[in-house]
Amino acid sequence: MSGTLDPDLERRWFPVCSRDDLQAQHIFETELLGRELAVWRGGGGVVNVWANRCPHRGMRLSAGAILGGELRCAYHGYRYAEGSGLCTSIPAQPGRAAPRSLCAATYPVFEAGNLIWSRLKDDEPAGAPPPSIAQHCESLYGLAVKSRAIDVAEVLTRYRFRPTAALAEPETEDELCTTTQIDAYSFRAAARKGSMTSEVRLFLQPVDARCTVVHGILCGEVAAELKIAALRHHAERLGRLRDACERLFPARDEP
Amino acid sequence: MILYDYELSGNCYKVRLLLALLAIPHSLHPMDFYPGREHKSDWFLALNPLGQLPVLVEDGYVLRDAQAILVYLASRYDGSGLWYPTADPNLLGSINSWLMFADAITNTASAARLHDGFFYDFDIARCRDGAHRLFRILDEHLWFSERGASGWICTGAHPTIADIALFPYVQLSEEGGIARRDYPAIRRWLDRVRMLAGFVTMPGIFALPARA
Repeated sequence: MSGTLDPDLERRWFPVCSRDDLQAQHIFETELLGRELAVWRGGGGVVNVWANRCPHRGMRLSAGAILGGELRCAYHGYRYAEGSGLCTSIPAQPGRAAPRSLCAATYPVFEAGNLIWSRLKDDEPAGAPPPSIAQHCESLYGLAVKSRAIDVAEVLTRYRFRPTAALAEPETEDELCTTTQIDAYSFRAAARKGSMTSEVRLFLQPVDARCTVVHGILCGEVAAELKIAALRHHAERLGRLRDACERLFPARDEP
Repeated sequence: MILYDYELSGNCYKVRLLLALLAIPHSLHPMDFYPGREHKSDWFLALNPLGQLPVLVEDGYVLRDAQAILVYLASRYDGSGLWYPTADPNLLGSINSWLMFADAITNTASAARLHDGFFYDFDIARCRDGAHRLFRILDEHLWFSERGASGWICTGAHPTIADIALFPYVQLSEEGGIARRDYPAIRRWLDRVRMLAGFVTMPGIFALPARA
């Protein structure tokens, strides 16, 4: 995936992490379609998705530090402003403004459903936005699966889980669960037992040709006392599917 | 107190780290682990028949095994009792299960680093696969720890020697070709450890950049 990419894929919005992944002072690193990304939230609250390379000497920006609204590279201390990515200062050139051309490579950012979304190409403003997701939701534990997205998608249609409110009771025959594939990278799943229902959305992040992250969202308000049990339930069930997927479709080196 | 030490050893470093965090006076006896194999010399085997570093000697008491040394140091010198709390059986059991986990990480992630950096004849694929299996378990554990309480290995607002025992070879994993891209909760936890007051480094492990 490091070579030429399908332009439609480059224009598509993908989740790159959960909001919960962006802790204060922590620069999150991931990949999308083989491109390394540094994702961070500055002091001004702006979420940034940048190429994980300092434009000066190529150092990984994720090794740097967040200083208020700026990211400082660990190598030569160049600072880049949140939002624009413009270089604001060069320690070795005190008193001189940084050249306007010196700028971190930025990608567009969209926050929806507790997830941070981005896309590699922003040349088509009319591209379909990330899906609308209920305001109140919980991020599930994101699973990195060592398989291609197309293979993960095939296995994920088998996802079965239980309504959150029913987790304290033993599983019974009358429980229903269906997982429907919306498109190549997203799924909608619902579980029901009598009047108890839960809805889950699953989104695939194609990390590279060998790895796919499954981002899950448990929709709606979850009672505080049920939250951890629900998160554990989904981590366990999705973890089983991950293991099954890796047995069925082990990642292979592309020629 | 003398620590028989090798600067590039993660197991020696975890002892140096706790000594620093607890501000315990000590002296180091540097060993020529590589290439001299001084840890396999007759005089050292008399101290530790296993021929492994580190070894701690205090007033004639000789203690081997990094995890055991952490237990000893915390029990003897940590007045707060927070690094190795012995009063809570559940917590004590958990800490010890993670000390065993740290040993498993030594046998995989550290072994991979010895293969890549010190030319040890190990099955590198097996070392790396084993480390990734353990890292997966650790990442999910830490993700839930972030939601439950503090984000440390064991419950409670304060880190324990389990964090110290696990930290070095997880942080050094890339020297054995084991990337941490797929373990975000592990990366956040590594940052938390590196932000501890009194944190010290070793070659290959850097302090978090200073904040303005």
